[in-house]
Amino acid sequence: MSNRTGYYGHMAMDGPEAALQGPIARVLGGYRPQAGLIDEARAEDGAWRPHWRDIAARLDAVGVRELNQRWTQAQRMIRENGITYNVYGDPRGLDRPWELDPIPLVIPADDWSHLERGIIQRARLVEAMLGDVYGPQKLLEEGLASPAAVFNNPDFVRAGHGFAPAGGRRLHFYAAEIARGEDGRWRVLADKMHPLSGAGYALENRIVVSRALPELYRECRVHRLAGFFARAKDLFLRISPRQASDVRVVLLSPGPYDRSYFEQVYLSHYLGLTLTESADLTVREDAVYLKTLKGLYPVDVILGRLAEQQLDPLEFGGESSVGVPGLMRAVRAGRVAMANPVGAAVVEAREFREAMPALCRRLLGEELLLAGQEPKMLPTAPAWIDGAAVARAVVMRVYAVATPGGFDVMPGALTRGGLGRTPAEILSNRDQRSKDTWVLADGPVSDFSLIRPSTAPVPLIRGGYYLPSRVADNLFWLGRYAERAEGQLRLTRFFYSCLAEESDTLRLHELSSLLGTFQNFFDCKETIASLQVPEHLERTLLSMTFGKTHEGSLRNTVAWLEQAAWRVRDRLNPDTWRTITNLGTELDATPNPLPAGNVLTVLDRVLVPLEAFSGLIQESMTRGQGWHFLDLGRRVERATYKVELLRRTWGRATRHELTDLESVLSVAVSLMTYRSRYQTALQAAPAIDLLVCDETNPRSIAFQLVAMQHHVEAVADAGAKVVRGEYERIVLDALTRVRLADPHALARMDDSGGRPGLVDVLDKLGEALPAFSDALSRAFFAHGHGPTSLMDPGM
Amino acid sequence: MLYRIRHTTEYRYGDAASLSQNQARLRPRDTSWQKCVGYELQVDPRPSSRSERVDYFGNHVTDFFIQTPHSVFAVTSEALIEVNSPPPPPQCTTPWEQAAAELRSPRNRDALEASQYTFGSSAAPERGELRDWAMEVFLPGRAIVEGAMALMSRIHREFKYDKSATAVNTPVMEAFAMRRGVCQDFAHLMIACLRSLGLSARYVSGYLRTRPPPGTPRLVGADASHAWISVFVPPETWVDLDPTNNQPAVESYITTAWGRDYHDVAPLRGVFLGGGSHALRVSVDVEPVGEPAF
Repeated sequence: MSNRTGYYGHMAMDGPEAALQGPIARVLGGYRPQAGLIDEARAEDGAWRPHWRDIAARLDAVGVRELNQRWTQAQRMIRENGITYNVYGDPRGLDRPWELDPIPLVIPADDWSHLERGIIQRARLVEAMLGDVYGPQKLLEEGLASPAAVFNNPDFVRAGHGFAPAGGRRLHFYAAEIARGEDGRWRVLADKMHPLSGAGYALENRIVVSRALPELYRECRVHRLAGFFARAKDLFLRISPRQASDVRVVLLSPGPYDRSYFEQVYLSHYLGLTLTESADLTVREDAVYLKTLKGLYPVDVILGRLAEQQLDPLEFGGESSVGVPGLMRAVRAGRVAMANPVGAAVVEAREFREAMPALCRRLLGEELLLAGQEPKMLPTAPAWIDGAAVARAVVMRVYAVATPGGFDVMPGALTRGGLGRTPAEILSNRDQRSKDTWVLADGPVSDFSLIRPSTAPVPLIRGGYYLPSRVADNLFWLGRYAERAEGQLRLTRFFYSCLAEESDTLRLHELSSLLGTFQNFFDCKETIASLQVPEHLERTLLSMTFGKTHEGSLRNTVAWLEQAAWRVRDRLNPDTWRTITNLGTELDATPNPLPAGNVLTVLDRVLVPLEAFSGLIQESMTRGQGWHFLDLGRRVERATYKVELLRRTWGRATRHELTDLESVLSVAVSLMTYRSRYQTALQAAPAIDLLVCDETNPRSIAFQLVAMQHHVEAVADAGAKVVRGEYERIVLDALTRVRLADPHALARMDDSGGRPGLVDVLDKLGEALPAFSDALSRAFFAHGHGPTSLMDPGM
Repeated sequence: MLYRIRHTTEYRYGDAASLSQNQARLRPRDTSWQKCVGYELQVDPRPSSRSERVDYFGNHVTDFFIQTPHSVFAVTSEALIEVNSPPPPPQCTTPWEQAAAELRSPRNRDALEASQYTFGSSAAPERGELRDWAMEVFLPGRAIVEGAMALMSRIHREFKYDKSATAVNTPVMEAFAMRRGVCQDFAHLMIACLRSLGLSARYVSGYLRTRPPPGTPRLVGADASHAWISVFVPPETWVDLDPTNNQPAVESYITTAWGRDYHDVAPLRGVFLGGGSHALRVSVDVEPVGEPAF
């Protein structure tokens, strides 16, 4: 928790310091750069540099107290939007919130235009180099590049040689790691070909900082970033091999465990791309398709964020579980455009960077504008740390996009600042913080926005039109885990209330069949007899509820729920996402040991986000394919749970019939309904009716089956082409069986006290539900089995 | 001499495979001493599409795609090859160190082309241990061809041909430690040794005639596709050597493809959906045309 709140959280309380300094403590008033280092904001004599004067004055006018307050808000926005940088790829724990600094780095117009010219030249040069490396290789012949630079370079992709990429360009996105040298001139530390890597964070930084400092942002004439991204969208349309109104561009992501997954989600949303993983794509003949619930849809452009050696297992070997087999065939055939073209990273090699002055003269006939050598000491800029402005070294990543005439540079950057003198120190520093970068305009700025309404009519779309099968699969499981967590929670809560209640209306020795259900739902190995000892039951409940080591515990179900949610993070709105993160937080915040009475309070607190999650799904999610699958998961799980619960409890009458009826109705959240309906003592037939046959009770089996049938009808036309899918027949059969059942017949006992009628129906349902789940996944989630590589014949 | 080659690769699946995408490198390439005068590739079941291309190394590749559900997948290539005797290894006195130096800064197109094969690849990496081992025959100043022949003989002498010792992906250092392997391992090892010395060597896939001419022994590897190596001798010559049979790969050798190592020239590569487990069977038949079969 502590690292999530951070310093800003504490500062929000407004330390005595702020009060002592009077009503407005100046933000940059005490800022002193380190002696001997160049500073972006203050000159050697301590005076503000001209382009910082105005901003420093305005920041000072905001004041320390106000800045801290606003920044606390901004931090909350970062957390709640789930802006993260996943450090070790663990969905739990190590997913760090994005660290952002409120004070932007400011670059004046003339300074920037010099950098811009240099970046454009460098992008042109890199494209020319790529044209040679993947074409005639004259640079090798002329000795301007050594054989090792190309042939001993893992980024040289032979399969990318000898054909013109779709769209004709050799480079679509270029980025450079930039720092100012000791002489004040810009230097390139590294060339980056991974497309738009970090640009999404730059955009998010802008949104957060411009909201926190709206008056500064408005009045300082800062260049907008939207135009750059609009040109990226133009580029996609231009390089698409298919010129149509429905060009489909996908971002090919390594998946939610990738460190920059958040950024990929963000860029996809912002640029209107379909976020895909390799399992979502397939190659048929020589074209790439997206596997959706409605069949295969052609893909025209791929923004590749997957490592190139993993793109195509057929071409590059390696594991067949990652990548899209046959992708390179489609690329070679010109049926799909890759941005960047495969193999662009070859020019990132140090040797190429060092040879660039000569290469620039040879290929462009120009002198290289931006030198490649690394400065020994980085310049600093003010950063807001611990409620004070201190000097931190800064490095920028600057982006360019291909335009018909050449390249355009994003007027902004992803700036990272931190402790350290060298770029390597900053960039490897775990405590680096990102900064927004403000490029000042000479004249008025255009407030072009990507979401500005266009005048062209847009075809209306309803529902989840192109839902990838993988996403439907994950939503289905998200629904199942959410329901499973709720079922487990209600069962533990019931037993805790038994332990807490002084009254002996519900005695543990009368609850053996419900304890059997408990064993089953938690995969608990304790015997029923031992669970009937209150002290032992309490200990077991604790570990079954909060324990992380026991596989079947509620905590672990919540962990599965979190993972399922993680896999469809791009489909959940921030509120929904927050309810899920709250769940684990509530469970983990529980002190240990805990008296049984207090546990009830904790469990009630956990129930709130679970119910909020269901509520948000019902109230905020459009009734598209995604919603149908999510709710199907919930219904299947709830029906399965009910079948299991009733089979283990009411399937056979015990000596404690009343306790059995009451406790099960209570666990099944239907006791109040029963009492309000029947003012008599509890009886089996009406209770069975309520939990099995009553289609108006949202907790009954019949209710789940009706809902399942409804969902199945809604999704059916999208899947199997036969008249009625197997999964449809299974639901219909199960529902008919329940509808035809007579509650009194179900309740009837044989000589040995068993209820053969009830058991028979429940057994049939117990077989039908898993069969339904399997049939559903065969019909819709067929990607489940990935491709296999042929056994290598060898020699 | 004219040869007819028939090479069948057959996979049998446990369950039906639905889709299958494949690359075949089975068509023998033309060289200065051999010419492919007839070629046919039969695929069963019939691919819904296929296309031909030439890869980075100049090998012929057939890409094809199968959409018919199938439980047996068979690829048969038939080639008619005109083979002339390649020139014998040149009487070259260039010391190997000088050859390595010339490859570091290539001065002609051939040397530049050859320079890419001086770098380690996944199956034939550069290793200090292999360099030391190879230096025991690559004595200082020794002529490069003579050194390579000595290395070939040493591998043949010290390694046992053993089909059960290694699999298709056994790392070369494991085969080296075991002193066992098959033609693929010996070729990888020899290439790795030459590269560790800074020399340029490539992996060659191809065939040997199935039945030797009368009076000569049957060679190892004649019943399957075979592999050997080619070492670059500056300024412009490639010399093919077969460490499995300890002889220059001249007569009776038919070249199919070459690359950095096996992975660049795998005769058949594929990815399929479904299918379950699968079993593989390969048969190769290489006969001179117009000679009596006996």
